[in-house]
Amino acid sequence: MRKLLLSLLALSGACAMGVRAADAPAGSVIVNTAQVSYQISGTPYTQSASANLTVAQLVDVTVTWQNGSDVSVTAGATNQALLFKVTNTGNGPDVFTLGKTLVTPAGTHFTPASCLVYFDTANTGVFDPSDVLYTSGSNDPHLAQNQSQNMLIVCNVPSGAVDTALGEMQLGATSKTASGSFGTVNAGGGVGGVDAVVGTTTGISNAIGIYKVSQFAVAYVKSASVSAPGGGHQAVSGATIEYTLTVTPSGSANGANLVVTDPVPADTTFVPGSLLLNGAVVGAGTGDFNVTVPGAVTVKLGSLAGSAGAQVVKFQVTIN
Amino acid sequence: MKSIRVLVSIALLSGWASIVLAADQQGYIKLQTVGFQQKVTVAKDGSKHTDTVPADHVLPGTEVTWDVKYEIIGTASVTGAVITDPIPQDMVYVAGSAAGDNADISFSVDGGKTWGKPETLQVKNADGTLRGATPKDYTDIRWILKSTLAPGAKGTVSFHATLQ
Repeated sequence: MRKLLLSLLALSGACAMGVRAADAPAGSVIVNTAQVSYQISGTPYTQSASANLTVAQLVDVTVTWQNGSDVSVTAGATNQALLFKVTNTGNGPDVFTLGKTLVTPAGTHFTPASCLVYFDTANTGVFDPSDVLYTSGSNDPHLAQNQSQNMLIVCNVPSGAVDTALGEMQLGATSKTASGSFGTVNAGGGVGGVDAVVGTTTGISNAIGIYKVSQFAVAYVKSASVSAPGGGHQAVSGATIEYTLTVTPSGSANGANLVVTDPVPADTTFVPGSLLLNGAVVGAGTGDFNVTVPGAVTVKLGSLAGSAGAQVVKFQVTIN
Repeated sequence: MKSIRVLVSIALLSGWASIVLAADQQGYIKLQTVGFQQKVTVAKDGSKHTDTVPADHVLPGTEVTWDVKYEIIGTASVTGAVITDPIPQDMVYVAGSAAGDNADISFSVDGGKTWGKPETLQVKNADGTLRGATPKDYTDIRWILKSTLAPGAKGTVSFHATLQ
């Protein structure tokens, strides 16, 4: 039976308790034995006397978000996980009810969809098919003193989520032994029948995890200009065609392994040394003609930030 | 001087010493250890009232007052009385809290092998260097009662310790 008593024990270390888990296990008996030695008429004697106390149960829980920084997601992505750690910071075994809550941040945001809570069974910090679904009241985590359990909130990202939008979900844990204001007593409700008393965390803890949409896109534009031997622009035999390939990245994410490949048209001949990237001649490690891809020019742009600006590739061919 | 000529066994309460006297002993020290804690009751109007209650069930973070009471029983005077009390497991001594009338108080950081005043006690760091001891390092407290104790004399020594 839970009784809300407006009574609490004076805690000299109350401020420190929120940051430091209790050491003495609930239900354990601590013995204080004093001894006196003395003499009567030169004969030594000793006596001792003991008193016991039983450690009551302090109920505390701490939930922390573990990802460390916003979890990057893309629009339309499924089964995206936020990682949380639930720690029993009380001094006795406890069972916790977990719950997820949508949080709406200020600014550009999206609403995570179809969210579920999972145990991080595979212990990878991301969603794995072997992770066990959490169902409140069915498999509430049982945690010993100082024991932790990693949990995941797994959501889908709507396809309409825009770049840099934030999505937030909160994981909450509530002690089934006692919760409420600091000092609330569940008489006899602790381990071994000791009183369970709500500590500074109120037996409830929450943490918010954040997704951030991080998109990357490239725009690709190709143009050509023809210079005929006589100074005109007719595509005649012997004329030179200069192609310009403009790759423009965008978005808040980085793109990796970007490669531009462009086949040289039939009945033309690649002009050696004409391959340029941003005005500089491309070296063998960065690009080539007819080596990486037969009959085509290849330029390896590598990793590009969305903010990197336009990358301009130029090369020339002559019409046979 | 009449000797106590019966075997006396006192175990009325937990906390009372169980004493078996030798047939020719003329007296003994009755020793009792008791723990107290402060209980704050908040009334509906928000006012607080503090009571001292027995430390039977104690929450981590609570400061417990340990009293060690002594009384000279019998007909003989007692000399050289020394009370020692190891600081209980999972408890940390509260600096400056040890008290006792007419007693010389010292502390140990090595389980009672050596004793000293707080300012002289040292403990070894992991690298072998020495540092000044803090109350968390104390393992035992000792009260040397300075005078001869006459029959019927009684007193209390005490200290505070916080349950971790």
